[in-house]
Amino acid sequence: MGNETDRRGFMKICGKTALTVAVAGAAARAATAPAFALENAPRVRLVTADGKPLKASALPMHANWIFHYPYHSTPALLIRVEDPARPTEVEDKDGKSYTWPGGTGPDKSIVAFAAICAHALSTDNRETSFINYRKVRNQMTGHGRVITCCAHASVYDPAAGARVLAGPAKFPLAAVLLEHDPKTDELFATGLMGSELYGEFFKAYRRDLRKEFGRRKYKTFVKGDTIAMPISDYSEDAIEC
Amino acid sequence: MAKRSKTGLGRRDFLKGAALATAASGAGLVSAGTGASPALAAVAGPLSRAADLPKPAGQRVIVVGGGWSGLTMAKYLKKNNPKFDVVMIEPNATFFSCPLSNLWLDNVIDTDLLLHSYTDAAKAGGYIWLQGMLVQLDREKRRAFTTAGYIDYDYIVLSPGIDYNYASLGVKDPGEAARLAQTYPAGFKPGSEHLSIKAKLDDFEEGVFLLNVPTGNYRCLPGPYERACMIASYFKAEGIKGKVVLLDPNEKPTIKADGFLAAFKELHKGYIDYQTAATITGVDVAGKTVETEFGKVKFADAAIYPRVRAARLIEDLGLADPKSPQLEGKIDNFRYTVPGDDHTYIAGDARPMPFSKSGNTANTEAHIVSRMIAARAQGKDSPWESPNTICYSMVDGEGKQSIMVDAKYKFTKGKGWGFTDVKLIEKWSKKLGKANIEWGKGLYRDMFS
Repeated sequence: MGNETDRRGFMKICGKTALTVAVAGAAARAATAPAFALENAPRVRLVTADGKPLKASALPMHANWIFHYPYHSTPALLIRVEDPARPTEVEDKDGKSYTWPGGTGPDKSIVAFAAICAHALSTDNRETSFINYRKVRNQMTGHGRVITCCAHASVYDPAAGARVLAGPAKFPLAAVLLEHDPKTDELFATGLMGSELYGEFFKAYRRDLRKEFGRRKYKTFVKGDTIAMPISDYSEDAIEC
Repeated sequence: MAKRSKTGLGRRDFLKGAALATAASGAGLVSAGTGASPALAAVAGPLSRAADLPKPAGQRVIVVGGGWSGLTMAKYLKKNNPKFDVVMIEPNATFFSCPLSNLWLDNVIDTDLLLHSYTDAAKAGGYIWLQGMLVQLDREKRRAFTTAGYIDYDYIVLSPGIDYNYASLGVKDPGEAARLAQTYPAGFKPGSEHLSIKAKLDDFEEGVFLLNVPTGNYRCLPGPYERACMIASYFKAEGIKGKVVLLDPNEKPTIKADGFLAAFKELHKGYIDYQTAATITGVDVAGKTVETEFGKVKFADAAIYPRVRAARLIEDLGLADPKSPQLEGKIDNFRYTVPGDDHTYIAGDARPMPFSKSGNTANTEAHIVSRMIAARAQGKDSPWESPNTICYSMVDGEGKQSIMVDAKYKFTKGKGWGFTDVKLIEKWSKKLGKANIEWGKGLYRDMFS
């Protein structure tokens, strides 16, 4: 199945057909119909806190980083796992299968997922980040190299489409689709795949999101660049459990 | 087709009089005695008319109780089978959360976190909240009699929670028990009891605030220990010359023992007097004293926690297991059904299995049981899964630091029920303190939105 071409494509649903566009000029490969695909998803470049483009090679292994996509207020985890992450078939919240396209970057190890737990919407903000990636084994769950939500101990596998490994979550974290430009080594967030929870997220956190991001801004798409940084820089407390 | 089973009626004789019999006969109630009684006819009102509900859109499921089990049950019955018509019966006007309420005692959180709306829950969950109480059940006809009228149903889930057994404290006179319940409320049934305890602390001048651990499988194993820590934190923060005396019939805390013992010693030195092997045998309400086997303990104020039992309703409906010391429901431990009646379920703290009586247990159990009911209504089934007891306890109010445990349950033939997959973090931290509060917020989202 694997080949050297970038299997990443971004999905643009116009109500009917799914289009995939292969970057780096290789053969297009149709992905399984996504459970959710964002219409007119913004294509946004990842930059560091100083505004310079984030280079894929600069992202450390076992990175537990955060950026906001597709809305100004919706957080996503940016992780570099140790091994190439292969495409994985997972099920959405309605039990429908979709194929998570795998990792991106020169070694296919860079992945991104919505930082909103599929169980009860625990999330990451400036004050506290409850859902984090850690290399080391969790005391509570016994798993290492996983995304853990420390509110109720849901565990997700970032190398396998964030499918649920343990805990009360019933479906994977929504995947943020990434593209890597091998010429510039830049990374782009280009779309979403999986069960999105943004409506419920806005409903649950609206008052705080308005305060932090602005009344209109919190629910508008990011444009151009979005800042990515270690969660330890973004959040006062990254919870381990 | 379900086997004909014994109904809850017949032993009860609460309707007397011909006038009542006439009014009630339409509702299928048994009447006894002779002679009309106009006063009783008026009482029959809600018992002899249908509840004001829309005609059921599909199979109707009644959930009795709007606590951590009932709220989760009602929402997920509907989610797992959108064709269900779900009605949740709950008498309280507002939801008040017992879990996390200890944190409010030391002002770590406020009541805005603890208070929630039943109308919002019902609206979000797509079910109807009927404010009232279940009084009787005709399981043959599948008719539930409530204070808001009778309801015909296909399935009923009873999750009415607990009641207190004051006789277990040596307080056998009902008048004394009522006085004790009002003067030194236990604070393990939600609402007014907690407001009272908070007010007691706000008013506290000096001396002993008495807490106790009951015997048996009481609701919220860490509750009294966490409360001791929060009150101690409060006394310290306010400069109150007070001390918590915590009487425990056990030799050490029933849960997270090392964590609580270390907290008592290292964080609350001088503020907590933890007495083990101490069982309360009597309470002198007016004299502000409890008796134990080893002598009397005087206090300035207290929250006195009797042994718990399943809510009286379970016994009233004839569904209690007479062999159960807490008169909990008799059900198939893996199917949650009443013997011989696949349409009647019991869940939550009224269950007989020795699971921890706690919010996370009830919530995760309701996810599982609602799946079972939804599946069985469609001719399928859903396998048993263990409920999950995730339980945080805040031991340091000043630093907002908590400890936690995560456990499941397994049944071994010959041995019975036991804990499994137990993970314990007994070293307190601010991070766990934050997770403690988020645990609650997440579950409120699960139940109310």
